[in-house]
Parts: sequence; structure tokens; C-alpha cells
Amino acid sequence: MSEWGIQALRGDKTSPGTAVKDFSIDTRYNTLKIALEGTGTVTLTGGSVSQVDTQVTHSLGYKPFFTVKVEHPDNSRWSMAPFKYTSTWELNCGVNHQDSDTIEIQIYDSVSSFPVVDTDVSYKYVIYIDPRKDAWFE
Amino acid sequence: MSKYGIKISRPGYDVDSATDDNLIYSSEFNTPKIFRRIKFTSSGSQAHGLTYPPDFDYYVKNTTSGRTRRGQNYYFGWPATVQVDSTNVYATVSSGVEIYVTLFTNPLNE
Repeated sequence: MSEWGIQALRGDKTSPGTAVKDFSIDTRYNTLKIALEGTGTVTLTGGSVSQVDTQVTHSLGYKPFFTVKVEHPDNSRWSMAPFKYTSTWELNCGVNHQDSDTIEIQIYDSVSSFPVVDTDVSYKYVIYIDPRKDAWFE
Repeated sequence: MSKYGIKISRPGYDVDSATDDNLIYSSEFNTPKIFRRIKFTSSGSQAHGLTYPPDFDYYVKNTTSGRTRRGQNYYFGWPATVQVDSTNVYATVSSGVEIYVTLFTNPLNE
């Protein structure tokens, strides 16, 4: 069977190489494809230790690769989950596959004194189609 | 308007009937595109050159053992953190580690 597909050389390469790292796209290999992405906001309760768990349904039927980033409202800096990050107060985030159709994002603070008032925390999730069990490579 | 784009299936699958997870590539779906990489050997910040907070990933290398771990690893004793905002990448680097940050073109705030 003949070779087929697409190869495109990286802009900083001047001659074709044989290494996959030299190509910006090479369809001999699977490509991460975003199935679902979105943003949201949770509210942490001021004056107490609080945790908000958010479920995101992707309905893929398997446990895909996914990433979550969360913005600390104090300085608008985003961190990659799972993390513990302290600005004026400590913000934490954990993530998990709740089941084969749902991911869960857990955002929480750690002390009762912060945040002082109810505070909105923004997050972003990206859920990929890949990889699926047994899809690559048997 | 008819649909257009590029779709490539994995070997042995008909591209016209393959499910999404059996496609090697499909322009119907966005893909992560690498904007640039930044290396930190000490704590500080570097401008990333975009006008929005970009998606990112990072790995932390122990310069003694050569081992690399993804993201925060307090439990392994390699405290290293990375944050981004609309201007900079910020890193906190402890002694004996290096951080490699990959920035993607996708914005985090939309």
C-alpha cells in the first residue's frame, strides 16, 4: 500500500528531514483534536473555607486527555491544574475524570480568612478527542 | 453552503464513515498550536508577546537527576510554579531545577 497523508515542513527548516519533529503537521501520527472547550466562573465564599466542584459533561464515553487553567482573581494570573498558588491568599485546583462522560474541576481556598468577601474565580477547560483506549496504536 | 476542509482517517478506516476518534486529522476541530517555548533557570518573568493570556503547559527538570515532571510537584520536593497573564509568563524556580514552558496560541480568557 502506498504512503498517503500530509506532511508540512516547519518554517524554520530548509530541507526535508526524516524526523517527525521537523514537520509542523505529519499525518503519519495522530493529532490532538479539541472536542470541547469552555470557560466558567465559580464563587468562593468569603470568610470561610470553601470548595466548589464543577462537572463538565463531554459524553465521549471514554476518559480523554484534558487540561484546566484557573485565574487567581487577585492578580489575573492563570495556573495549570492541579495546583496550589498563593497571591494574597491560597487558591487550589484539583481535577479528575468523574466517569467516562464527565470531568470534574475542584476549586477551593484553604483558610477561613480569605477570600474576605465572596469572590468569583474563572476557569477554562479543554477536552480533547484523544486518546481513546485502543485507538492508537494497537 | 457545502462543507469543506481536510479530513484524514487512520489506516484501515474509511474517511467518509470514520468516527472522530479514528481520524488522524480533521480541520473541523481546533488543534493546539505551539506559539513558543520559554526556559526558566531562575525565578522571574518573561514577556510572551501575545495580547491575551495564552494556554500553556510546563515541565520541571531536576538538573541533578535529569528527570522531568509535569506541572507542580510539591510532593516530590521540586517546588516550581508557572502562571501567565495577558503580558508575561511568571515562574518560581527553586534551586536545582529548570522549567520549560510551552505556550499555545489558544487564549485562556475566551
